[in-house]
Amino acid sequence: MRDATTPTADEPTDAVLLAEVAAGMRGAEPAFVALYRRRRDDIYRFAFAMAKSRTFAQDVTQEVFLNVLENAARFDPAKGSVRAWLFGCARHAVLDRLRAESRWTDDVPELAAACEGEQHVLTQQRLARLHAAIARLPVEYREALVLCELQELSYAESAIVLECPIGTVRSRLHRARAMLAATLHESERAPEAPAAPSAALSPSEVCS
Amino acid sequence: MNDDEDRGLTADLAALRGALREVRASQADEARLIAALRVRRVVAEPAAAATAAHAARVPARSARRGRAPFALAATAALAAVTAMLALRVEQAGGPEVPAAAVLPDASEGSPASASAASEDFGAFQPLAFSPGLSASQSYSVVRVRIPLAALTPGFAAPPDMAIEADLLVGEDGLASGIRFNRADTLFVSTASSEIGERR
Repeated sequence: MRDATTPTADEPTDAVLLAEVAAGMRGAEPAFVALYRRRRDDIYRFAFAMAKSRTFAQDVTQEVFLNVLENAARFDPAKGSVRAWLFGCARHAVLDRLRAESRWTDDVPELAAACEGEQHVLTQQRLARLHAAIARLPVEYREALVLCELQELSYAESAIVLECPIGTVRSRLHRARAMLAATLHESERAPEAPAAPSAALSPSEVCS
Repeated sequence: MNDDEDRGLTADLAALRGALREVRASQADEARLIAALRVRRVVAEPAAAATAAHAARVPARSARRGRAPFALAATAALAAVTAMLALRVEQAGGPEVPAAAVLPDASEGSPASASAASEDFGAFQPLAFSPGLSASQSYSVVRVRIPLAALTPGFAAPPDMAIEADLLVGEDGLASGIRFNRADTLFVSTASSEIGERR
């Protein structure tokens, strides 16, 4: 598993922390804080990558960890890692919000803002265009791409999060890359009419 | 997609992945979530025991500064709920604080905030022992569901019956105000009245 936030040998695992949260006793708060600090950025980035909105990502992150408080006891280690469980919660929160909203992208090219100060303007623009193109992919392809390519989850973990077979993850990822390449190719051919990353999208585009 | 395009896309995705690593969650949310956890824990334990245990852990210096511990404020909130339910007092009592005046964070345009604002929660009531409300401070709203069984020992509530409330939590993590879902309080008031009549 390619996980940059794997705890060291002397730190409790995610599963141990979650069990302490579920127990709800004195150790619950430090355990929750440790788990939150370890995983919040993962969840935030996933939501941000999916919707290209900081407000959206903030709401999803909070919702996921409130869900942890309420439903920590429901975690089943036989079904996968805590990290995959958290991504699964985040995925449901993202999908619920995408379904509920018709306008869901911020008007600010946020990734470019995040890179502000760097000299590579062209790189920033290319990445902003790429992120915008990802945010316009149909959601089932987008989530596969974000999990596998941007969050670096394995196919097996992604399959748990997406509640589908590994083969489906692979095919969705392949299809997502092809759609992304086609979209970027089109936008390069028509630079005078740049894709508006923050244009309001129809619900069918959001939740196809 | 040919091989060159595939390699280019892979490189661009790797660059985007690198850029996303610099994107981090807000630190401010941590206080909000910890407040929710503390409310949950305080509610799960007998209120008096929680207060005593927390008071024992709070350093004397902190108490001298007048920074009331969150557990105390939360317990005060619970006491307020209990009093409201027992006396069936309508929300008119006490100085009401207009929600819009003290909720800059709640009106940031997030869908959750918007939907919360549309529900019938009435105005925030200041909590006893709280540091008070200030228009210059920013507050977060923490929605909690408080099991009735933990609030009203004399009221034989089913274990799954709970009342929904919003806590107004300041930047210091202290709860300063509370408001209740009017529909829940009405329902509980009616239910407790019926139980009282049967007795």
